[in-house]
Amino acid sequence: MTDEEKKKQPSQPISRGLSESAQNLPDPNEDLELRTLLRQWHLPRSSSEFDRRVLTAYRDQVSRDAVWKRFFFRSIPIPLPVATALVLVLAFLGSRTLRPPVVRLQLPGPVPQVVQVEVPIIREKIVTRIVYRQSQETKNASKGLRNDTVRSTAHPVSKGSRSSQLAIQLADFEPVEKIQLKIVKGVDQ
Amino acid sequence: MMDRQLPEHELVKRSRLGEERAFLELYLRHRDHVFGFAYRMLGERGAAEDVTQDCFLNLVRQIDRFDPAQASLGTYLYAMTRNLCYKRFRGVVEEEASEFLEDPEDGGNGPLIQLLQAELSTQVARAVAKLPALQREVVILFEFEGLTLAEVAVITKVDVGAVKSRLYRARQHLRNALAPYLKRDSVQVAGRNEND
Repeated sequence: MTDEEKKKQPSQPISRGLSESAQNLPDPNEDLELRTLLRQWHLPRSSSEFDRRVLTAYRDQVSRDAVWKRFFFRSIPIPLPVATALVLVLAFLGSRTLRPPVVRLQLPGPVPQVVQVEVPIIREKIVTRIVYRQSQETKNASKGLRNDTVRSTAHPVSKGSRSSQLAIQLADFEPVEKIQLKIVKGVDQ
Repeated sequence: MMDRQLPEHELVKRSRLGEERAFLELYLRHRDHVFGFAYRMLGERGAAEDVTQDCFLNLVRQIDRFDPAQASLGTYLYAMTRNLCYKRFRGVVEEEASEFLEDPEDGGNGPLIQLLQAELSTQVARAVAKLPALQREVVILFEFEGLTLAEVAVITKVDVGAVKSRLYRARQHLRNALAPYLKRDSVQVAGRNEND
């Protein structure tokens, strides 16, 4: 239909008005003269190949529309918002379905099992002792007393008066940086 | 030939399923009507054949759209042909169709009578082609295809009153265009109708 014809096409209210006034129009079947004249318009025959062409097109159509092809290649027009919503819903459902299920076992109650294990414990005993070293100056002064000191350390409790004298002399000693002690059991005994 | 008692919607279904005989049955029943309507609307044989082919293929392709409870298959095919014709109108600038000058079928008469008939046929075709499309389709369906006003109303999707009105105006145009071939004076007829 051309634009000019579209403009000529009456709108709905006008068409309704026309249909009401159309009741008064003469019966179109009465004008036999014009009808007879119009019937003089004869149609040309369709081309000889036309029927074959239609049949070939039909065969192509049917073979194209085989069931499996229709299933795989048929397209359905879906509005974009609907399609987007469908994709989102499917994605949500898919994620829920594919998620590994959480198995919660309900046991009658915890049954603790006590196992006693003996583990060897290595205990180290660290003994710290401060040792004073006698300096060179006091070494000579106390040289004479060495025998007495040895005797007094050997018997500190029994010789109380000499042990006090020895304490004064030990004040001049300096502590060594390192000392390695070796404890020998049973020496005092 | 297939059983004529088979309802047409059944034939359509079978055609859809690939039963060639059913399709041929349908095609032969309605081919001339579809082609005639398309040719008179478009005025060109090639275009009319294309429309006829598309019409029958669409019938098979879009079987779901045909509801036998609403309209007969003939009415449905006319409506589809009409739509296909208008689709062509939108794509092609309407012009005076030269193929209306095609020679009509040979009636077996003498050369002079054939010549006169051919001229008359051409003049009628030209007069119809000059009608606006909405009037043309009504004239073709009512006068040439022999449909009732109600059937034309269904196909053109307007009420019967509108069909009658368009038909009346179309006939007035045709009377004026074909006045030399009518016994009565067209001007007188038109004047009388206006007075009515």
